[in-house]
Amino acid sequence: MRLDLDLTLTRPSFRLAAQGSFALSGVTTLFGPSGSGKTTLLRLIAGFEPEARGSLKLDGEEWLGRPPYALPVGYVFQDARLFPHLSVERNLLYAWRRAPGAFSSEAGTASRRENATKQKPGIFGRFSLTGRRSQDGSPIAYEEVVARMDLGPLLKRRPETLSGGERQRVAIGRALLTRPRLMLMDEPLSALDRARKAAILPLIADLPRRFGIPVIYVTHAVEEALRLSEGLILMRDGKIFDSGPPLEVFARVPPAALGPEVESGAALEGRAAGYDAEYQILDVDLGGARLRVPVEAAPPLGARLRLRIAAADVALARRAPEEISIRNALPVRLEALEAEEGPFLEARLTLEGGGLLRARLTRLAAAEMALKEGEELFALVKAAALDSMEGP
Amino acid sequence: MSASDWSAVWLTARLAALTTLILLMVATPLAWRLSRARGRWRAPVEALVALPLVLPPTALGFYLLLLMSPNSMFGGWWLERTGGTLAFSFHGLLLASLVYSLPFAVQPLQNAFEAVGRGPMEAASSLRARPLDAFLTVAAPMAGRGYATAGALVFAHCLGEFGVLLMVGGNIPGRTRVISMALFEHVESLDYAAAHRLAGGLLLVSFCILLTVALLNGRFRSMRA
Repeated sequence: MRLDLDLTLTRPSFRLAAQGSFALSGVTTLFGPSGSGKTTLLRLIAGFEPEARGSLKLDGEEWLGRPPYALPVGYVFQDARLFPHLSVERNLLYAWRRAPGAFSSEAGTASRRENATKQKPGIFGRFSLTGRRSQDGSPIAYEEVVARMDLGPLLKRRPETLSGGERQRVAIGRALLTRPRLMLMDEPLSALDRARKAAILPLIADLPRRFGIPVIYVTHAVEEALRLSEGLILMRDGKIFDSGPPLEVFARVPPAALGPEVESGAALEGRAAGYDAEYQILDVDLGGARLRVPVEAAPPLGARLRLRIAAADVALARRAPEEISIRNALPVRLEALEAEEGPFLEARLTLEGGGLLRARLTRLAAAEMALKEGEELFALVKAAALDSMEGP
Repeated sequence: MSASDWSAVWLTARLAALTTLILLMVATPLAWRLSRARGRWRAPVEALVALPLVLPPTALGFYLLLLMSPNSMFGGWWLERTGGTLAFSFHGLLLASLVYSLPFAVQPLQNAFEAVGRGPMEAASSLRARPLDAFLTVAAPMAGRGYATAGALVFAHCLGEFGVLLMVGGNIPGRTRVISMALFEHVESLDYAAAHRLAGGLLLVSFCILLTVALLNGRFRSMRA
């Protein structure tokens, strides 16, 4: 799916001006600091911002000026927005009974509304017969969504009795049941703790493949962007700042562009090249350079991995250090010293094989070592976070 | 209770029920618009709707009477269409009652719609519900407490109307004499026993209605918590 934007939206204290053309496949992350306009852009795509001017095309079809109910999008709100007066099941059916092609011809006409409003398990059975795999070939069917999102045990519950994670699962399921051509998700995991996030992320990552629809996912969390997305659109001050594969974008933009919430660092891709079971150390091949990372459970050999290395966890040395507890001393080239901020600055480094690293050091260290751009150094890497064990 | 008192009770009950029914329908779009409005019209419209709360009923009744007189445009049009005058008729009472009780319907509904907010309506819209559909299936049910409060308040308020109805209806036994006027007559003629029956009945019924509202509100509150 292709997204072409040329939009402006003016508010008293904010102006969005977004241009560009993007191929949406899999999950595309809309990334940026708070207030950069990412939620506004997402709402605009969904038709919630009728004051927007310009053009917004999906696969060449103009979407701007159409109301939300006329657009084939599923929208997952940050706060879920389940209907409090309806059970989980009726929340889902609210979407399903309004979705195009969700019912076969005989179930779909006169009795459709009545069936859906007073559903009984028996009537449900009839839904599933007609809706399991619909005539139009869309893989989105009621039972499939309930099963994928594991909503069966929740159907009879009321929204206020659900946990945050359950609420978002219902909200994702409900949005899917509108049979959208595009899913829009606005930081659906931001209110969840780490464990709940980890449980839902794979479900989201799986949506494009399982249901055949692209997803645009708003977040300001680097790990979510890396874990989920094939493409990333970076927003800043109401404009699209950069876009491309997440690793590339994170590597090339200055850390300040990612916003103050994001810890400066670098993201790298590699493969599991060996595991020392005794010391629980994983060898990661970064396409030339090798990194040793402590992990408790080893991924299969050859698995694609994404790593994040915070700039604060990288130190620089001119000679390979000896007798030191840090296990990773990677030869690097100093590309640039940048992003001065108080007593600190950041060194942008390239690894053998082209990967990028960032190191945060004091201005004093840079001055006393007389660091020069272009010189060969060793990067001492103290810690690395493994983001994904299977890759996209 | 005398036959004329019973007819006053019956008339009052009919008037209150019809007023409640019509007002809930009329007030819904008005309250909805007010709950969404941000423009400069909102304040004057809100003030206009609240006017019956503070205006002396006799003043309101006076203007309504002028409006209903066959010499006025509206009153003349009504006479032509129906062959009867609006003043001193049941329809006149009903119209006066609708105007007089309007704020009691609009304000609870407006509050309830504001409490629903934009979120659920946007969600409904993203689930392909058109605006009317979304209103009927999301906003209206979520504003259920507002409807219950508005209905009960309007009904109870109608039972007690006096000044406006007297101005417009003229206290014609069997046609426009409501409970409050019959009560006034009994007190004037020092028939306190009859007055007690009507006043006590009003007291009891009104209390029960307001108690129901309070209990309902309590139940909704605990449901939300």
